[in-house]
Amino acid sequence: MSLLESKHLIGLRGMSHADLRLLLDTGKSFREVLDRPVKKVPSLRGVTVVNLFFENSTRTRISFELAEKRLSADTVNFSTSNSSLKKGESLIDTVRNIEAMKIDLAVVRHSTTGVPQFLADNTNLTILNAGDGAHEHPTQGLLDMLTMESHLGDLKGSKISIIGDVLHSRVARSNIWGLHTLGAEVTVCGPSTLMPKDMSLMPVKVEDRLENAISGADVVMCLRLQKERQDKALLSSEREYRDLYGVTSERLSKWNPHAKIMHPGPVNRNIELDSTVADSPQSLILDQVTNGVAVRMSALYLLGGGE
Amino acid sequence: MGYLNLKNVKVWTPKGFEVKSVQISIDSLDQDLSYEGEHFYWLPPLVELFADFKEPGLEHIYSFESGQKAMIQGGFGTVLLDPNSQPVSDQEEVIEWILNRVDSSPLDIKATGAMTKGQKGEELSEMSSMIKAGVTAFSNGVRKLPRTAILRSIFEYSSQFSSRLFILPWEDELCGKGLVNEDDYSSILGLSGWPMAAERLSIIKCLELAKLTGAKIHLRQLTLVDSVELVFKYREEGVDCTFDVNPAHLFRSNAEILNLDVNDKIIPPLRPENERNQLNDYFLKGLIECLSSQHRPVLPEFKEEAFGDAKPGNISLESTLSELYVKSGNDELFHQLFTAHSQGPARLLGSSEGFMLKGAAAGVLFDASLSQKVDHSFFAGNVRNSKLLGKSIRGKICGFQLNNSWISPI
Repeated sequence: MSLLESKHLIGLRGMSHADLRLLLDTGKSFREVLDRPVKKVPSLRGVTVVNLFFENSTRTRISFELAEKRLSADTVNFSTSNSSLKKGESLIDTVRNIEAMKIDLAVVRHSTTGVPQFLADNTNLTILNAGDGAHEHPTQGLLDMLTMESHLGDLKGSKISIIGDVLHSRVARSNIWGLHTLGAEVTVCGPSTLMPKDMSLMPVKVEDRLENAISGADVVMCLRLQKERQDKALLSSEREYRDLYGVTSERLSKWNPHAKIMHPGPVNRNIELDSTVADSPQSLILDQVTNGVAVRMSALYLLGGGE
Repeated sequence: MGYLNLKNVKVWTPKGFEVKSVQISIDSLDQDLSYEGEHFYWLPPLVELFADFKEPGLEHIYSFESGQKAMIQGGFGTVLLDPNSQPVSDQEEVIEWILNRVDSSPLDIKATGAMTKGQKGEELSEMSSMIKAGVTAFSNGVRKLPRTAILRSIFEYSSQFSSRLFILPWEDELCGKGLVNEDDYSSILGLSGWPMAAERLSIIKCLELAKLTGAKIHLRQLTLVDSVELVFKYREEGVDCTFDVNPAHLFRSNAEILNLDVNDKIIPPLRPENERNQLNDYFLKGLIECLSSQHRPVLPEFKEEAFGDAKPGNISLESTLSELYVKSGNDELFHQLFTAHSQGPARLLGSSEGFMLKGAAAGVLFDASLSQKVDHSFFAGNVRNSKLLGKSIRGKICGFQLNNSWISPI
């Protein structure tokens, strides 16, 4: 069924250049569809997709739902708040029951690393990972790359800096693997408490100083700062974080006035990113959101074997 | 009565395997049995220092019956049980109940008592009465260590009875939810890591408290040569400390967790390849005398989860002997591994050594030429949490001599 080398889309680590290229190029085609007056194609007519969101999400879920509807798939939604999981049913039993309703493809989001892989290994469903723990969020990585390519062209040799809470970020991990496959150079920078202890097996440069991470970068991608990190003594204060790692107008104009700015959202304005920067012409944040629908259409189309 | 005739088989001796012929009379045999060839090994029963049979209270998962079946299947004569029952084995009545349940068994099933009431890490358990009831030692099972002040009291109180404390040295302060080693692999998977420093810190704390109080301790499942070195250092200062290592930490490294197989989730976690190699060097030098594979039954529904949510632990009794044989690759190393899983822990427990069990003759006949398919029927009880499930393993136990009986595993 899948037009990709793999039946599932679990992550960008280990994905071939050919598959990555196919996903992005198909995403570009669907991006054009989204600009048409009639934004719907019949590619997945007859295919049933379930959105299994075990973790709360608004924008990612809406983005997937829109992508599914644009492809004419039949969709059903699942959330834990009203599910049998609340009544003590195990994850695998819940999903096998859903599978028995003759679902073709499941979009899965879960707060635990490995849930999409586990479901891929233990059910016959085609699995599309919509984010698992701090592991991977492949469609976010893809939409980021699609956005970068639409502004920079070929990413080979381009310099991408990711700033912030890399430790807890599945977005950062998917970007690191995908961008490396496309030939980009990725730098990460953030407080030592919010950086993984060891990253020597990951294709990234770790930079301690924000100035070095920003200057010379083609794209500066800020990550969302979770306020609860402060409760776990991983962060002193938002004020101090902004002082050390905030991408401000002043810093940007001083160190790299032409860098493109990205953020997976939602933005904590004036903490990780100044409002003036987030709303500036060099910000690609809203492009990312639009491309999110296109790239999710691409992933669903290719996994669903669309026509 | 019949005879067990073993011709030109490899017979375990403390110094190595000797090819010889042995004839043993066994009451329960109604006809003679004969085995010939150097692919047969005649071995003393194995010993497991860290087992959980879940009874009383969790018999729907596992029981003494399941545990004893697994022991026969795997060639184990002696196990030391965790206090993780329900109710917790923290008072004499529970210990008496357990020991009464297994009293008639030819297998040697020993019990540990909880170090604290309910294993909550707050109040001292009634150690004196549990000793009178026949408890072998005290332990924290797989629970984290109590607070330091409570731990000191436990050490002081146990030293009064010269009872050894079997301690799994971990505390959750640094480990968090991470049940994987903290390094590149935990970074790639986005899992919170369990740093090696956490093991060293816990061990230093236990050793310092043992030095302060005179308590006798046994540190379980050490994964690092640094930990072993610390034990040696404190021994020189007079601390009575023994330790064991899990063969999993000799045979496997944490690179395997990239596959997100829930059966690679164990406590303590698999460590990096360089640590594994160093630990193997220490083992080859004869510095590690006790192995313990940790037999921890977990119901399938708690393993049918993603890696991050699945319960840790494996069952090992049925497969340990084959694993030791296969991983060794030669008789010299097989003998060393086997001895560290039999004579070493037997000495520690003060149990019968060699071809004896509970004062009676005992032995295990292992055929290294056979292979077995590891399917659901391979395991006792309602569990199958083994990395070997679905695979074939080399070696099979043909029979177990136990107190004048000859028992053939299923």
